[in-house]
Amino acid sequence: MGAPAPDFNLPGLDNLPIDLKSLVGKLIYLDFWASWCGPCRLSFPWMNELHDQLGDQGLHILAVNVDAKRSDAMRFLAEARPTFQVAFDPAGLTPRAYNVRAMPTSVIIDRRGVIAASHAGFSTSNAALVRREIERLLGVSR
Amino acid sequence: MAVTEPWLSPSQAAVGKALLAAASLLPCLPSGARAETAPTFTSVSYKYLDYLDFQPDAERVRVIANAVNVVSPINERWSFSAGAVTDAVSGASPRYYTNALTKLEDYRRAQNISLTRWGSSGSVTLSHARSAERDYISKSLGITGVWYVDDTKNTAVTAGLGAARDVIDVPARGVNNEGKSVNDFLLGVTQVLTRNDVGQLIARYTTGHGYYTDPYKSIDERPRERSGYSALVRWNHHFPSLESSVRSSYRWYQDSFGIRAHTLGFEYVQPLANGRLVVTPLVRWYTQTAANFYLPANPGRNGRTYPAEDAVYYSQDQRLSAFGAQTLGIKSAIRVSGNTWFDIKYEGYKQRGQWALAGRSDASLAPFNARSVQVGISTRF
Amino acid sequence: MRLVSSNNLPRLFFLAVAAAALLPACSSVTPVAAWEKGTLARPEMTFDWDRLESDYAEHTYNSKESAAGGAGVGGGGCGCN
Repeated sequence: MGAPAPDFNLPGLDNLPIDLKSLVGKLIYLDFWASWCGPCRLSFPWMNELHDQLGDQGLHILAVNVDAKRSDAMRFLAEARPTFQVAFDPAGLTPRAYNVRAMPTSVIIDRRGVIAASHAGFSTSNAALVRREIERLLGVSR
Repeated sequence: MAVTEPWLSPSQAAVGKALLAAASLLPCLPSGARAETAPTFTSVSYKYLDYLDFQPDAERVRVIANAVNVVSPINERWSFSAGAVTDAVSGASPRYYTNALTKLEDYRRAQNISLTRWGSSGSVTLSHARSAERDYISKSLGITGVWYVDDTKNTAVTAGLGAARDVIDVPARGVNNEGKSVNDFLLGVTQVLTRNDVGQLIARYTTGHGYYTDPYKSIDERPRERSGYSALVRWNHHFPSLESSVRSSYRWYQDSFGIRAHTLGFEYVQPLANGRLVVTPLVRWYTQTAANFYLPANPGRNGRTYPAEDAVYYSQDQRLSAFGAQTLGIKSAIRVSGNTWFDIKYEGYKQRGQWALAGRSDASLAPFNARSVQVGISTRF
Repeated sequence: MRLVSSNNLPRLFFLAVAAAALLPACSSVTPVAAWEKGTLARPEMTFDWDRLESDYAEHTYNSKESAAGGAGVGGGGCGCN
């Protein structure tokens, strides 16, 4: 928390590179997920909702997959159908850089590229609190 | 061993009853580290069993069983599991070693249910099981906790407590409202070793008192107490290049009846056809010593063997003799669609007195074989 | 060795299990990280793969052999003595 978010450059669904530096200025919700992670199944619909409702207010969701096999990740995505951006890190360098301790883990990076918050695991009850945190950081009034 | 006429055939009635009642000895809970969080899918499965055992003179006990099981989340902190099984036993049994066959038929119904509370550093499960057949009722309760030692969740410690209370009624044999109480205690550790290896060690202590005698045997009188220890070591290893896994287990067992046993088993799991088909061959070896009150057959006397006049405990139950056994089996599972799997398993079992690693085996016992077929379907949503 | 007599063996096993829980503390191997557990999540790599199958296995082995159980607690009695 409070530290600058480690930089990374990962391929997206179209295999074009996604660079963290290029996202400066947005509020980034960085989510580490895998096809074999149970709670990840529940987090995707919630992230879809976040993207639909707050995407045009400066929120950028980036879900980084850590599956060793791309085909496992694709099978998950076919069912989860994310509307947000997905990147692939089979080597696991990014979760290591972000000191991920559980799956899934979400990291909120503020508009200056500094880590504002980090949450291990996913639960719908906790998600409501995280959403309020995001709205506050976006300066969205309710 | 050339035995043309088995001196002592396992009382088919006892074996049949044992099969029925043994099914009630379900582990209430799977132990050790399971998933780290509550299930997110609801899983439903059904399995059918067709079991048959036999000897050279073609005596048979057949068991047909149907079992269902459901595991489901209640919310993100709670989940439950529920199951039911019905068994039907049929066949023919000789009363003594003469060939007087007696028809055998019995039914058993059992149910189990468990509730799990999931937390950030572990889980606690409460479980209950009950089983009823014509002459035997069993009810049990269990509680098991799993705790992760640190936030890597690579080490899980399991502790469990269980209690079972049984009532046995065989009025025709003069057994009325006999009871048996068994308590058990378990301590285990599950350790993630590498990305491809996980091991588990479980120590268990069981102690019971009550009616242990087999009412279907004429010459059988067992202690009213039994306690024992077992230690189980399991190891799962994955071969990334083959995408296959080997599941190994060894169990050591010793109890106050004088039984010492070793069990060693291996399963090799090989996915094929891009994971749509999974083939699993297995092998299991088992050996046990005889109970210290086991009465070996006297082949000289062309009839029953009687215990010594001052003997307090004695039994002619083949299951308490020294023997070794081997199981060979193969299971195939096919993904029929999405998350639905169909599986079929065949196992052949052979038990021989002369295969016992230690202990005086009873050379007069007939070779005992069994085969079983299981067919199942499971899905999750 | 007197310490490892038949009577002491069970007590030693319980101690061994408790000691095994300390394994990670003295292990020099890098612990497996949270994102590296995909293989361990495979059903065949867990210790409770097919509940009905292991129930049937206990069912049939307990009727023919004297050593019972090993993996769980409770579960009720059986007429197989």
